Amino acid sequence: VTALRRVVRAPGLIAVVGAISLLLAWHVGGMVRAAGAAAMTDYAWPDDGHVMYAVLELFATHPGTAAVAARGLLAAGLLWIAVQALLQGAMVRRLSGSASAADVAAAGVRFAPGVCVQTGWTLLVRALPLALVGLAAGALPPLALALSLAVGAAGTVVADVARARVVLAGAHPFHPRTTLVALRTVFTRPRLLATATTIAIVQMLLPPLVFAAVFTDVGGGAAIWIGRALVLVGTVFGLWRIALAVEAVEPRPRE
Amino acid sequence: MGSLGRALALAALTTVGACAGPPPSGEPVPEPTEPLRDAAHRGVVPEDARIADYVIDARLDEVEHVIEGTARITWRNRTSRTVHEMPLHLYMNAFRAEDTAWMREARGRHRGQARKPGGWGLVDVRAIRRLGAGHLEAGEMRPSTPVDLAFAEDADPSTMTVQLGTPILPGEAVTLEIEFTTRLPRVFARTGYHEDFQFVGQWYPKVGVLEEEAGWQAHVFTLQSEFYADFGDYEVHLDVPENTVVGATGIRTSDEVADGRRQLTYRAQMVHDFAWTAHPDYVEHLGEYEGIRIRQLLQPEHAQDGPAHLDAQKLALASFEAHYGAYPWSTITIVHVPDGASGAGGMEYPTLYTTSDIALPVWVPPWLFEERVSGIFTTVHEFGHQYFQGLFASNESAQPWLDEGMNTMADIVAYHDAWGEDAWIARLLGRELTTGDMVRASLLQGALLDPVDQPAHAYRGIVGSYGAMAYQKTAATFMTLRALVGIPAFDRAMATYAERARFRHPTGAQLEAVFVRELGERVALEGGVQLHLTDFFEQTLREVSECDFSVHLASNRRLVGTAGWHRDPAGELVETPTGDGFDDPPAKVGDEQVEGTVILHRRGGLRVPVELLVEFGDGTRERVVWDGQARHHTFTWPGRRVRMAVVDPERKLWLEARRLDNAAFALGQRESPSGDGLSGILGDWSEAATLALLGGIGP
Repeated sequence: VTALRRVVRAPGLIAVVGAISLLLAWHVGGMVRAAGAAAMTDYAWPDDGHVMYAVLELFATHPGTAAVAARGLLAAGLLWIAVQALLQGAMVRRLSGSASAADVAAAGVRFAPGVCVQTGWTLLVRALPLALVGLAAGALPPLALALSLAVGAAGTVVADVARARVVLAGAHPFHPRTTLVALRTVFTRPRLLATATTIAIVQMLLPPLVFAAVFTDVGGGAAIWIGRALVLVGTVFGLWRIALAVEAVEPRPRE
Repeated sequence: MGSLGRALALAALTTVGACAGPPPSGEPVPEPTEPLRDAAHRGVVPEDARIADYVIDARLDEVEHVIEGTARITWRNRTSRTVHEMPLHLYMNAFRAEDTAWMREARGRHRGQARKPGGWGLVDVRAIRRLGAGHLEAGEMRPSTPVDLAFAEDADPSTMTVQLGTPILPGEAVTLEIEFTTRLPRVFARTGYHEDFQFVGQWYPKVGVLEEEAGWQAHVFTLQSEFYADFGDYEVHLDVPENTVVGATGIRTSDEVADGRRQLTYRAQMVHDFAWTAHPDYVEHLGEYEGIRIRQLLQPEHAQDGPAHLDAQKLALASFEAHYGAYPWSTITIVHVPDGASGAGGMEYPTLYTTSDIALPVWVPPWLFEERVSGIFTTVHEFGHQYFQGLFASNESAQPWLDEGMNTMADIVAYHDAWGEDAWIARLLGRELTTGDMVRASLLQGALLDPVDQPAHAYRGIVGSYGAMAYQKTAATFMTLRALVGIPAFDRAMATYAERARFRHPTGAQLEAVFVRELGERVALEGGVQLHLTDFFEQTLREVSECDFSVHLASNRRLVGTAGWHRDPAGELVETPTGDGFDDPPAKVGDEQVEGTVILHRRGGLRVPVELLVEFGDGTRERVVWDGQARHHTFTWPGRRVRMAVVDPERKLWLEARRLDNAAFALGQRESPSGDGLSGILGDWSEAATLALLGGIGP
């Protein structure tokens, strides 16, 4: 609860992180809308229930539209990864209580290389269990999917703690030992592991929900807004998870 | 032996046969006692269609994948021609070397499967003897001293010619004995072996078809050509390893095990081919449909799919029997090939076919994704061949569309019968792709490269148009016709064709003639428009013309009024004053002062009637029909404001794949510049996909 309180006390952070992702996605959508409209020229699709075929025909007869969609998605993903590198340090600093925009921004830039390297180490840490799960996937696909989610989520929590240690505890930004200490921290604190992993899993389940909501046109014309709102909810969950890592790294107040 | 005794004996044989492999799942349906259904259910089976009977003895060497065989063929000359020589198909020789006609075209690949190194296949005829002859009316053959006959492979080894010595006169029959050795290829195209799985199709010498007008029909086996043969009765004795589960054309009449070998006898009546499979790992699933025994041979890892394929088989039987008459045989065997042998999957033989596996894992929830393509469609399609290839038996080499395309059409109709018109075949989160979408998607690729009605060898493998043309464009042609003339009339014509085609090797011309006779040369459609049927078939089957219509223009303009100078009845010029708002754009004046206009453009070469749906500014709608003959046509509605125009609103033109130009708002009637209805959806999907991706990455 105290971690969530840290998030609620940082509405600007929620707004900035959420706005960046919404803007990126909106831009991709805009590009595709424009490409689609250019391909359709003066014609219209009369909503005859065959939208899948209409899209298929559009992509087949105007492959540039498909290229815009695919490239836009890829570019947004790469850009978001770059933004994340800058945001991680800033988010940790802000959730640790710094109210100075300059300090937060400076932390983002200063610790960007370190958080990237630590993220890389945690990806390696995740690789082995994910590979084992993958080998078993043929036998029990649903279980493998659940295990993958759990491993991925726990790995994210380890990455959060490693990055928080770099920003707040002066841990070595590039050394794998920082990751290993984070791993020990997470797996020796069952409450942190359970809470943060659960949040991470919920957060991981939100993206398919976002796509499904829009794809199935939930709420009619409001579907895209429902999707955007879900992304903001996901942002809050993500910040909550990072705040738990911040609490785990910060020195505990003496009783 | 009395019927009870015979049934008990066959039941015992069935029990012996079941010893290989685990007990069958599904319904306990015994092996039928006769290859044909009882007389009340089999439909017409004309005796004069029986031309070539085969008695074959075959021993499988499961290690070398070699079959030593003897075939005794009794062939009847029911034509007025005197026959001096006889062509034999040696289809297996297509796989003998890389310079055969088939391999030259295939370059070692077939339907995405590649030939494996060293796995050549062949059939080597060692001897041909004439055993006897007789008159058809006498009913019995006169045995004579066996006479060795001269024979030689033709330029391509997939055919051979036998010199008969003494000619076979009209009304005579002859019995030949052929010794042959067949080496199975490593399977990549229908037939062959994979590890201890054997699929044995097109494996013995087969007599060509003697036609009254055209003479002998025996085609070189090429990549896209399938098969053509006469009907007859088969008795086949198989000698296979003891642990083998066997499936074959017809019914099993004996099954004995001795000295580590299994001796089986199969009998089939009025079929034109015999195929069989042997594999120790098969598990059986049985079912029954109105006296027809449905036996599935499944791979153990896909055993759970048996009921789904059985359901598909039953829905196909229900639809095909309703539309095309009785299925005459008492059995159907559905073979599921193992991994690594998928080249043998999806192929038809009389009373037996191979299908494909259901690809979708069972744990994928239906609300997320469902499909009726993998496995199920293959089962329906391959069963459909039991009619168009197995029962009608058109010349697949000369007119492949008559089997593949008409069958694809019938498969779609079967889907519609089971799940409603234009049933979905795949559904992602509730968004559907339908049978019509599937056909149109195929037409988007390669539908303008070849005419439909051409021999199989004219479809070059490297062009890649065969599937789109022979299967999908044919299906689209007849589904378009069905939608235009109405389902009852179409079904009536197809039923007539099916009735006449049974066991008669129909041609495309006969099919077209039946439609013209049943529907009339000019079919009256709505709005006084007529469909010229002969012209329709000519365009769709023998020309390469695309079906593509568009809304060239939808607009509203000022209605022509009476302002200006006119002569009155007395011949005097009188001025009618210009009305208020004469110079206002149409959007500013009342509906009664505008003239709605829609111009349709026939962009493609295909001339066919098409409907136009117009929505007016007051919300009302009107449907009109254009005969589609000219390049464009203008419709006007004085006093009515057009809001939107949609060509072919009910998607009757299955032949039209390019539909994005089929609708347009009238100028100024769009709600927004990007309000085309599709780009907004696509943009939303892209935005949502991006949001999902970014949400997955972080924070």
